[in-house]
Amino acid sequence: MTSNRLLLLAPGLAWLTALLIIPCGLIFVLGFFERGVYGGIDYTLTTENFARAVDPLYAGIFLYSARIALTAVVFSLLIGYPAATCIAKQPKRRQMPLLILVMMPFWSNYLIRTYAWIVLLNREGLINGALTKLGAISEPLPLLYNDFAIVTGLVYGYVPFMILALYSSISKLGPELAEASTDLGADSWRTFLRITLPLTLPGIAAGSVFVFVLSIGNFVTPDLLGGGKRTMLGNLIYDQFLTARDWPFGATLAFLLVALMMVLLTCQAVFVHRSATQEEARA
Amino acid sequence: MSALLEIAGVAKSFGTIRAVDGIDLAVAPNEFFALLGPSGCGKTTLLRLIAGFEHPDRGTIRLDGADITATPPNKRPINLMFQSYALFPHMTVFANVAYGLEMEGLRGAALKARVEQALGLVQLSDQASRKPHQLSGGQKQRVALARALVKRPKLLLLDEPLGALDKKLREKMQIELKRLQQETGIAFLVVTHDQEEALTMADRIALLDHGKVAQLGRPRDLYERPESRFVADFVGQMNFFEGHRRGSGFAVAGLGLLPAQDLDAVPEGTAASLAVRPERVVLSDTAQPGAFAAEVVGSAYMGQDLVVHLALAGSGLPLVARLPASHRLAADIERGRQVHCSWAAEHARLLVK
Repeated sequence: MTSNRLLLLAPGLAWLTALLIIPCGLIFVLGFFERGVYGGIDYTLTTENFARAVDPLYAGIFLYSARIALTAVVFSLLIGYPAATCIAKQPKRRQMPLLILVMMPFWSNYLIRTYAWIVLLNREGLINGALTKLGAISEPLPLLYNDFAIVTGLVYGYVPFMILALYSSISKLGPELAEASTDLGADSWRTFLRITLPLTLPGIAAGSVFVFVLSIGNFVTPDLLGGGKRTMLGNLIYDQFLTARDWPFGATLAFLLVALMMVLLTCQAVFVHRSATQEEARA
Repeated sequence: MSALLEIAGVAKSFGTIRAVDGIDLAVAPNEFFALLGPSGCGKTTLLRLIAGFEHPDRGTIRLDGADITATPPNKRPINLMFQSYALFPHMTVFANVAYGLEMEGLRGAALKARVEQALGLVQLSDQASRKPHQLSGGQKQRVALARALVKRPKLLLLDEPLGALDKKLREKMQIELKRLQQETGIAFLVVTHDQEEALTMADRIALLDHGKVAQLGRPRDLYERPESRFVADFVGQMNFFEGHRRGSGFAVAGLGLLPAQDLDAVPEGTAASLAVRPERVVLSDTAQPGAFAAEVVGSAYMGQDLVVHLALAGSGLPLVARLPASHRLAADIERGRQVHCSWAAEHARLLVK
């Protein structure tokens, strides 16, 4: 039985070990060496890279990235929660087509979809053009190459993950608890705050961690929609490897980012597991 | 005494299905009322209409004289105990019961006193700090009851309140519900598919069939004076004979003329069913005038009773008789034995519908 299971796991484990665990280990180890004079690696042990990572310059980039990612999380929640609620309340046979529609953007390339936002947001783009024609504005709005554009791109890209995570949580809840709350005299707002919201926290946590983790490491969106003016963590790592050719420092930053993601995902997994065991005990 | 709840001409359809098809009924204050019926008869829809979760297509619902047809559920002085109990899993027993009072704006010591009183009423005072998943089925049911009763509603609706409990606990809770209803003085309206539950607990029963009231009355009326074949068949066990009203009795092919009560109400020649309760069938091992010879084809021992399946001689028509275990014949009823069976005219009811 046990050996059978191991056999089934083997291909997946081999894949993960070869392409995820070993590279992560290499990156971790790389962070403890010095940069070679011509961009190579000088195999002298040092902790200087880690000291450099907390330098205000880089810490500032980290905080800025976290702020952008958090903003993306908040807007994804604001857009995703009503959408997920609406899908979960549809008749069963209509839910699957709607979920497929939510996933539809993934059928095309992320880079192309991000480029499409440039067409929408630039000074002569669709939005500014339409608003100017309607006479609503005289000067084009600064929609592109700023934080607004970055957050818009991230929310657009990752809101489906938020909707899926929330949907699975909300649809499990069923209508009865909300009805019980209404029956006991609560209006819909108080029912949401005291019953629906606390009971869908696992979904909120899962969706938020997904969106945060994907956003903070993203480098395509800040590059294209931010116009390269602001650097996020993803861009910084990208630059260390490909422009500055400082692999050890890039590896240190990459390792720190992976570590942060692991901590967040573990917290979320523990949280979900705890509420799941409670639910099992309830059933 | 004026009615507490008045339902007049209420109808509700879902697509082409008429779930509730023009129902009139009234529940008196302090009454224990049961909505009984097979699944799909519309009893749950009617309950949801009274609670306010569904809106009727036509008809009015009045509570204490006031029209509440358009009142949202959170503004109705009616509470519902859900079939699944619908306890809030993230709250303690205390918080579950307190929830409805908090919505009324009650706080502090007054709130605590009311919750503790309600928990005392259902004997759960020592479980106040537990979460629902730590409770047994019976305890959950009592939390749900306390949560609904603590609001002191004018009317308490209970959706299959004992459905999820095992038989022993169910019998105990039937008595418990009756006690709570009398102690609180709140009118109870119970939805159930279990006729035994309705007969034991309710002051009056409305038996529903296809969205309509088939019969409304006291348990005794429904059991002893069913007005249609559906009612006679649904409530308790019943023997039916198909035939025609003729002369001084009821003619059944192969059996001749059978005695029946209220013959005058049915015109000569009308096709009807004759209904006889198994416990009204008298068995004897000697031939009597007016008795039918029959052969025992099987029997089931039920503890205090013995249910005997018979085939009438000549016609072969089936007949079920129910004897108390103390009956002289009960000890040696066996397959193939010949007996004679009869019943009094007043226990044979003619049903035209």
